[in-house]
Amino acid sequence: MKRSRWRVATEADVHLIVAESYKALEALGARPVQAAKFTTAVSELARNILKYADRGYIEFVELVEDNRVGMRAEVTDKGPGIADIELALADSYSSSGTLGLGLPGVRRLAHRFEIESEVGKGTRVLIEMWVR
Amino acid sequence: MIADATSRYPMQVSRGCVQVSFPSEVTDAMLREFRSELLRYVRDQSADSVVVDLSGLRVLDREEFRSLRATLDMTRLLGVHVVVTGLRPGVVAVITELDLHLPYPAGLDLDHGFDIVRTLRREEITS
Repeated sequence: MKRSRWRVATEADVHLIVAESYKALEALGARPVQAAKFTTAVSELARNILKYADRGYIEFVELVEDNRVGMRAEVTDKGPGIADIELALADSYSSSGTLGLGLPGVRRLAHRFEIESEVGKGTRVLIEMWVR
Repeated sequence: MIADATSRYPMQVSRGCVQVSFPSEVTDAMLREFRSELLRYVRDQSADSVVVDLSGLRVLDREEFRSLRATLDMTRLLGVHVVVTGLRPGVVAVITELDLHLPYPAGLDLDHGFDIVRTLRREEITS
């Protein structure tokens, strides 16, 4: 199982991570639509780190299960955390347009989405995409 | 056809229509630079329309979308027709899933984009 861990502290980090994760998904056999969706979700989460937590990490893990393969991204930061996750995940709160954390959009772009957050401690988001 | 040799972004004008390729895999600063160069070029050429080729874009997050949308809105405010072409299925899927709105006519490719420009010009004359 292949893993890679990236630090997110600058806009250049975000662009590099997006380009590398797109390439990795293509190598797994992802269709362009799948690669675009997953890497956009990664980009949104990485930008949230820069905006709200200053710095954090993204770990990619290639997934292999029975007859399918996929990719997991685990995004962690030690930022301020999210006080009301339910509200942040509510469509009416932050999905439309370009405001908010964009978490409802990220959830729609991935096959699996998990979030844990504690105020004052940080946030962990996990997303997965199965490609075949 | 007049190309802009001073810009790092490929832009050219033909019969009043500017054709430009939106840069792919660029920084936010480059997107802002692209905007100012496009606005300047459209004004300098007294263009009446712009066809923005987006076929190089593989990924577009909300931040980049915001920048693209602002660029197109500003271009439209100069009084020119704006048409986008070449959006890839992945980018279209993301725009839809993220509930973003791109209120400009879209063509599959450049030829389609120029056809749309001709239609918009005709509509302007008859309206």
